[in-house]
Amino acid sequence: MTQEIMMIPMNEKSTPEKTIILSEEQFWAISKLISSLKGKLNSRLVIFGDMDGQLVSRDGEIPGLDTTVFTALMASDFSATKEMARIMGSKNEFKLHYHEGSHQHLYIASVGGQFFLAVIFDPSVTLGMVRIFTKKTIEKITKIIEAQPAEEEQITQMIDSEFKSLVKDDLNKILG
Amino acid sequence: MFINWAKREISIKIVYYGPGLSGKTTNLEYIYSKIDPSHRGEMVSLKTKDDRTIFFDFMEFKLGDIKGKIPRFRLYTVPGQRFYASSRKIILSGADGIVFVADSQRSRLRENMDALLDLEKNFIIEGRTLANVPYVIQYNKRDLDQILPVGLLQKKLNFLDAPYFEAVANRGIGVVDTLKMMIQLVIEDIERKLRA
Repeated sequence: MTQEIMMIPMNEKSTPEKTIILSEEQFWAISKLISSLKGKLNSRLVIFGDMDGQLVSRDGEIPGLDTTVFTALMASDFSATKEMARIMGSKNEFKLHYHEGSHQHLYIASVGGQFFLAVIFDPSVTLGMVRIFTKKTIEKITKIIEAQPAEEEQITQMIDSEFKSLVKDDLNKILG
Repeated sequence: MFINWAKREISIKIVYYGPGLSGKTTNLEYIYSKIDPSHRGEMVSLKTKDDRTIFFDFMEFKLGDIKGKIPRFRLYTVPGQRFYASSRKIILSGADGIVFVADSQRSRLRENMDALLDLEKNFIIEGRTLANVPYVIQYNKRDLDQILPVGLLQKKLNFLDAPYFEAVANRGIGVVDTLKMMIQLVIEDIERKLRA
């Protein structure tokens, strides 16, 4: 049996991968809201991440908890349940996740489908409180993201002509 | 790609794709072992009790300050086994570059081809195509006896003429070269889009 593989021809109109750009103003405004939420809920850790697993901002820390890995896992959790929703025939993804532990709970809510907000809190705080304050914070974050679209020129400032060769040099240092 | 202007960070997602047992996790484990802990976080592997990837492996590493900017690279593997199709689709989302880890063994040619078709199918669902994505092929397990010549693998798998590397991932051979090429292609792709 001959084994040949055929692929679709190159399509110039294919959608490029997503690029999310967060301006300085957006970042600090969101970080402020996250800190405020952490204080109101007496939370140990609040994380704002994107659905591709990128940690955007956080306040608080838990010894031994790698927030980068934790964010990637939460994003995957969201994606997995999104797929579950699709298989179940639901048109909409699940908007929030709640994981109840013995000493601490995890509440994760979608922010506009592209980001999520996660709160780790202890059993002395009621779930109702978490829901209310998180919802209010999400509304404010959504406005920040929508109100200040980042300017495209920022990418050109981020990556100039020297960038590639400098990255190459640094990779050689790190990886040998 | 994610750009956090306040933190001067540019974050890039690279996905290692390929059939089951081709060596995707081994690639990540080797990279993890090579990078100083000050430049990387933990590596997480979601595995079955039989040590097979059930969802993904993940690690992130960062470079030093490059003219006031910090490049970060998030590396993922997908589970290769056929029945984890949904997981592969999820992990592929938002990928800036793909390393396809092929198993060089004669008996695994069909699996390599199926995995490649699965990759393209998932890109099409996302409205993308492999032809427009930075992409490197790694022919792994070159130390085994029953392997196909690279020329034949090239003919069967590398129809997009992507850069390719021969590798023995469990000894680290070819792993770093593959990653360096992948990162170079991703950055060239970003530069190209900026000029467009």
